[in-house]
Amino acid sequence: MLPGLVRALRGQTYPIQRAVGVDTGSRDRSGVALAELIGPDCVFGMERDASFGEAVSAALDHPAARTGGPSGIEWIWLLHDDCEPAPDALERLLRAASRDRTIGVVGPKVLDLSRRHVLRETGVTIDRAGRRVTGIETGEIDQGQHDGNRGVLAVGSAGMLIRRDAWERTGGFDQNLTMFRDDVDFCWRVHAAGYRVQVVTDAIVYHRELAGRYVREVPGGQPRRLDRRNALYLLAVNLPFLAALRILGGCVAGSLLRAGYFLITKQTSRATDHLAAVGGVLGNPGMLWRARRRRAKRMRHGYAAVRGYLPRGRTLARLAEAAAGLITTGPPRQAGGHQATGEADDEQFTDEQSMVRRALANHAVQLTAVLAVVTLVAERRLLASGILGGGSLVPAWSGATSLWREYLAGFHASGIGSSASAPPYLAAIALFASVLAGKTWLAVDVLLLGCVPLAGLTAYLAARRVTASVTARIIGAASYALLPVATGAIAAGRLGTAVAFALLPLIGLTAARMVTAGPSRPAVARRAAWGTGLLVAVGAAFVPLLWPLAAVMAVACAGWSLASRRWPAVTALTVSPLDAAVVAVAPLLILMPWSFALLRAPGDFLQEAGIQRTGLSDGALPARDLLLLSPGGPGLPPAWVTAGFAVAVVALLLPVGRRGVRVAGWMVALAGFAAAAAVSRMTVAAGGARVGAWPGAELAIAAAGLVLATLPAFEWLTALASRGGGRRLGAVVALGAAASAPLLAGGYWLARGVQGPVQPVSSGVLPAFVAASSSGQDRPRTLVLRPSGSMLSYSVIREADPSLGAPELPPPASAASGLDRAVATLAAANGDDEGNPGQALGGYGIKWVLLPGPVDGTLAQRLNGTAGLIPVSTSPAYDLWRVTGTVARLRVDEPGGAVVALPSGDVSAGPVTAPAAGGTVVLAEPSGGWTATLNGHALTSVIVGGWEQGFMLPAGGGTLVVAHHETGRHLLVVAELVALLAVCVLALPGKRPEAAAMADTGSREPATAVDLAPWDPTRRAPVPRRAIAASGSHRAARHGRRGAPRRGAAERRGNGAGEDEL
Amino acid sequence: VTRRLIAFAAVLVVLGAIFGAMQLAGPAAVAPAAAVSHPEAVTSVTRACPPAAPGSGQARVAVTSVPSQGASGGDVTLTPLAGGGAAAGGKPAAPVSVSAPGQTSLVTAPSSASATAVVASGAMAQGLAAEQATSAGLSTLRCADPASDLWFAGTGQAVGGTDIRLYLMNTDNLAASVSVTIMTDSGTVQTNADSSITVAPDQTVEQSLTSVVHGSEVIGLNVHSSVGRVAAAVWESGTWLPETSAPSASSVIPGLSAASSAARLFIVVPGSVNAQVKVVALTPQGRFMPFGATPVSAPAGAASEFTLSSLGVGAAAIELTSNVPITGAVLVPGAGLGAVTAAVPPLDEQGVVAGNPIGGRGATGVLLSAPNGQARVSISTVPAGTSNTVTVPAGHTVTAPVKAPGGRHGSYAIVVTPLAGSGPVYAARVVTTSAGLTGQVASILPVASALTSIELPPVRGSYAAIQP
Repeated sequence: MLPGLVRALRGQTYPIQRAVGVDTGSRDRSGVALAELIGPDCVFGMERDASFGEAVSAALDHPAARTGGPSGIEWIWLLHDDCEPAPDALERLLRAASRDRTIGVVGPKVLDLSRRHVLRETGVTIDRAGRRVTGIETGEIDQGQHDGNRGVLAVGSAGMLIRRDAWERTGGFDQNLTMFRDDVDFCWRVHAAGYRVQVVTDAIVYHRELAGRYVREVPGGQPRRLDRRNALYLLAVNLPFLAALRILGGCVAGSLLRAGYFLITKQTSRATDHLAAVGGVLGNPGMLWRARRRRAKRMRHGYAAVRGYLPRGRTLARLAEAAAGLITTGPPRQAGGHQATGEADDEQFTDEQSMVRRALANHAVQLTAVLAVVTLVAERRLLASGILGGGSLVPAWSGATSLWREYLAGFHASGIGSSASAPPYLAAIALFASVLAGKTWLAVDVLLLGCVPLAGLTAYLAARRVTASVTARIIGAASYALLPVATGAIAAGRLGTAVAFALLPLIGLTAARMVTAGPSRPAVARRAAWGTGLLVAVGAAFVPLLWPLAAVMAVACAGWSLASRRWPAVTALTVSPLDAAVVAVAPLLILMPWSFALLRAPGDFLQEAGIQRTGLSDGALPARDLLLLSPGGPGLPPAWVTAGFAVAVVALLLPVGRRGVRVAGWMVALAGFAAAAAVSRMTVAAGGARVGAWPGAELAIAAAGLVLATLPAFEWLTALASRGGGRRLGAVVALGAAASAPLLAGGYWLARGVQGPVQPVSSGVLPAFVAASSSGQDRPRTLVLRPSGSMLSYSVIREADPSLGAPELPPPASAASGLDRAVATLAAANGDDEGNPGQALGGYGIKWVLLPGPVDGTLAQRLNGTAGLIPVSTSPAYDLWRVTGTVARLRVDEPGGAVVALPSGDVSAGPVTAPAAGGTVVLAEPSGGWTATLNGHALTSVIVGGWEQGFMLPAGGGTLVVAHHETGRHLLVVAELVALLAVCVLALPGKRPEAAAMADTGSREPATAVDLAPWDPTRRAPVPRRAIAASGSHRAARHGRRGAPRRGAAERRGNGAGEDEL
Repeated sequence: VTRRLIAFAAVLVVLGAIFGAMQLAGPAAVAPAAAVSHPEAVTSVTRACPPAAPGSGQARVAVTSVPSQGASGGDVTLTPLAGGGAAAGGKPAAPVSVSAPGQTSLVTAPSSASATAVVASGAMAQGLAAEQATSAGLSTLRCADPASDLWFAGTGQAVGGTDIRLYLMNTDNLAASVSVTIMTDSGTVQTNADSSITVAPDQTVEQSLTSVVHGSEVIGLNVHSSVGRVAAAVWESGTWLPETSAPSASSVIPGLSAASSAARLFIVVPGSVNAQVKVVALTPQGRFMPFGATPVSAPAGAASEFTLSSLGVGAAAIELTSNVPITGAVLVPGAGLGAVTAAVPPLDEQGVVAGNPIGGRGATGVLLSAPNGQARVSISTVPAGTSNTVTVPAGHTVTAPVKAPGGRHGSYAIVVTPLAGSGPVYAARVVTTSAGLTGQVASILPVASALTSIELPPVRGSYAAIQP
């Protein structure tokens, strides 16, 4: 390199007066070469760890630099060994510099040394996180688009021309910055000293930037850490104190966030770098203070001189770019990381296809789009305005925030009140709703109504791992997505099954990865086991039975694996018992404390997200329907539409190969059928009744197994059909028969639409004025009565109609039985003989009794004649009564018999002033878990009426506070979160070593298709595999181009400034 | 190929096994929610007795309770419902308390001028009967249940009802807002625009209806409270009208005693559709249609009168079946105006009549009618005397004389208990002024159920209440 530099120096059109070379301990012949080229007097050596700044200072102190020259303004031109100025660079720099006396520093336009049309920088600045910003995109070709001399915050030190007095006034480069940001820091101080910094774009310097790409060794050996530390240091010492505190605070928080992210993604060294950088700067306040003092002494202009050069909002912009990169799967755009301009020779050609066009060409996207259209047309009835409800589904009236609160709270202020642990699917919905701007109803709509296209997408992705034949994937995925299970789940509002249905292929995908990793890659298998456990846990949150099913299957796999090791005749399978245990135990950990409640009441395994009702399942489901994948209940096509699945059985007779896949598929299918048969003969509790359990998820498993078992046959038939000849007809007929299942099911669905109880609900049952009164300080509740046959159903509503999840929280038995009796007395013919039913309701904090229309006349008559109830309103929509007397959530029963209502919140109450007479404080909530203090002293807890929480209130009055213990629940939630995060970390793929990543330049997709091979080590079926590789080859070529830079980018992200991109 | 065939066969076998197992297992044990009502002991009963009838001096209340086996404790408290303008000057009368389950007490009301609230609790509330009684202990009126919709039917102002008074009593601690609809043979009486009467808590309101129904031959009253509950009593020239059951398509009026050939049937038809009423008499000989097979027509929004002369002399009950809800009563001539019996619900669990005098010349008996299916009842007394079982054939009315226990003076209670397996039975207690139950009627009292427990209907806390 050096000769090029020296040649360029010699060729300068403006003569250089003196040149000094510094050899910072080169190991090759550089020093000698330099001496040979510019003269031994002007070259001296320094220690290897000397910084660029030290080297420049030493060089300026060198006698060769001091020997006199013409008086006047003296200029210093800094060059690196890896740069090469254009012949007229110095002349143009000087000409520009001499035009204006305030200029202290000028810098050239920097182009790449090896590819001389590629622009590197035209002046640099930093954003508020200390990152270098050049405003130039990766690989941007210089077409003069950034030309024009202008003031900048800083210029790079390669080719930097400095006025000698500016150098001396600022004191040169900061010795604390050995590399990175030294130039920015220097120029900042030049600004502060009252000079200006300019870039001169017609002066050109070619630069290789070896250090920036880590080709050159960095002192200390940790370039990322150094880069980050220097960025923080630069901000810390140069900004005014308050601004420094503010911006630095943000940077430190950002660094900690990133460190957390890297820890989660198992990139510990990068996390350490971030933490060490923060520690390195903040841990050395003395150094910062001295550096600030030095700058303060020389400062002439304040922050204002520099502020205009600092771009705002860069962090958000980068985040947005990163997100866009994730979505597009194309190469991430990187504006302005000059260290990030690595390889990517042909990056300017990668964008030949727009993102949209690429996506549209994707078969998975096409299939999903078609299914989405089918779904939307079939669900035309449900697309009216209103929130979906009916069947199993409770309308999601509340937003994500209250759903989160519902999940996190230890006490649920709904109905009579419940301290049961909330089902974890609420957290999943709340999380999804948070992403959708807090719209829970939208989350429910997407998951329930969109389960068909979602399942199509996941099934296609899963099928991609098994077969390379697009036809086979599409038939398989569409058959799965349009199963009667899906249409039945939508029609009955079974949100749980809908989610599990879309999730099952993904569970299968991770499970397949676990099973096929083989003995040679135990780490991959373990990660896949954790991933399977995680997905099973998510699925089990919606359909709990998935957990025991997955556990049984995992254990069966482990058993099979042991057997195959013992007896060679058994098809080989390698699943370590530990991995099986991971799959079985992970849901227990992630779903606690709910999972423990499930284990205590195993009957609840048959429940699913949502409420159980009569009429949503068929307790006498014919065996024939079940084997035809029809789960019974509303909204199902005739059982024969899925007859096409019989091809799976016939396919057993075809000489297809891929025995491992088919055995696995049939095992899953038969297990699914057996489970479905068992479930269909069991019952679950549904509000006093016992209704048949719905074998939806189990049939979905069976169908998934059938599809998996048939995929090789599809592939084989597709190949046969394309070959021609007499067999072609047979193959086409077989494929057509297989495709009949999705076509018939889809057609039937399109024609009939969704036939079931689910429907848009436009408004709640609670009249607006009652709802308004219910959120008043007395928090009165409403009792809703609805006779159905001989049975009277009732429900207690607080501020608004119960939202998703609330009706599933059981109240304590003592409270419920008491209210049962009170309501029965209300409705009984001679109910007044049981005392005052109105008063009994008042004890439950119930102020309103609502009979929704069409109003039952007999009951209304009875309520009219009931003591303690006053008719308030009669209308076609509802009849309403008010309970007489003092009704409040929190009241004091005074010794004299007077009842005093106290204001309360929806859970806790107070501080309020307690009446002086004392008595009993009664909170109309189930007892247990409550505390009350009067003037800070705890009150004795008593149980009132067998269920209510009461406290003995001494006379004298004072400030009363009532609250619920939440610590236990919060600890459990934190434990659950920790378990979830731990499982996530264990399931996520670790970062591969960079060397391995660089070596892997091949395409990814065919590689994954081949991954299945170890599944069946006894018969490797080489022919199909080769066919896969060949069929994927043109794709591989495209991917190679697209993939390689991306990989490079990922790697680069680890380097220098680029790493700040998340 | 062999291997493939084996796999094929294995899959078919397993699928077949699943199919077979499902067939063998049969359908799942699906069960609807248990819609069974369950009994609950009565714990608290409130009745309201009107003030002493004009000119009858001291008001007395006959009280008895016939609790279920083993129940004890509790008491009955009689509290004056001060009001009616009589409270002026006098100090509030103190409540009277009785605690004697299984006995009959004749209690002097704390204040004759005002109505009396009878509040029973505990065992005393079970099987409670409280009646307005004469000084001899003969009950004339069952004390009223507070309710929101009450019905009465009686003779009009022109035919004996020269003085008609309505007593409205409020036993609750909430003011009741009451409207009274009056129907006569000439239609619904149009009263002032705002006819709402407010009855303050623990107060009685007395209203004279004589002028309102001037010239009427028959009256029907509907007392309706839009807010709160109210108990009501109607007095007509020396006779209390028993409360008649709410209008329905089918009702039974028991207790037409032997001297009923001149009985008058009153039918009240609320609403706007004329009623076609089928009138069937249940006699000791069986069913008899006093007006022939064709239904009689009763105008809507009015009270009508039919004379039951064709019935002849003999015990009977009247069964009314109509196309629209109606209610009715029968005036049996007797001492003074006579005695009125009204439509009542069938006996449930047991019927108790507290006020029956021991001694005297008259006879006491119970008229039992079974419109649908044979009924078997046991008739006993409190304090315990003779007890006998009576069988009533379907469609018949049976007269069962009751022998008073012991020979002391005072009063006793009659308990009518339908036996297990009995059809619906309607009962009325009849007291005559002369020996034998065929003599002149002194009092007819339809027997009302006195429950020791009530049936609580099946309820369930369910989201189905919000979204069916």
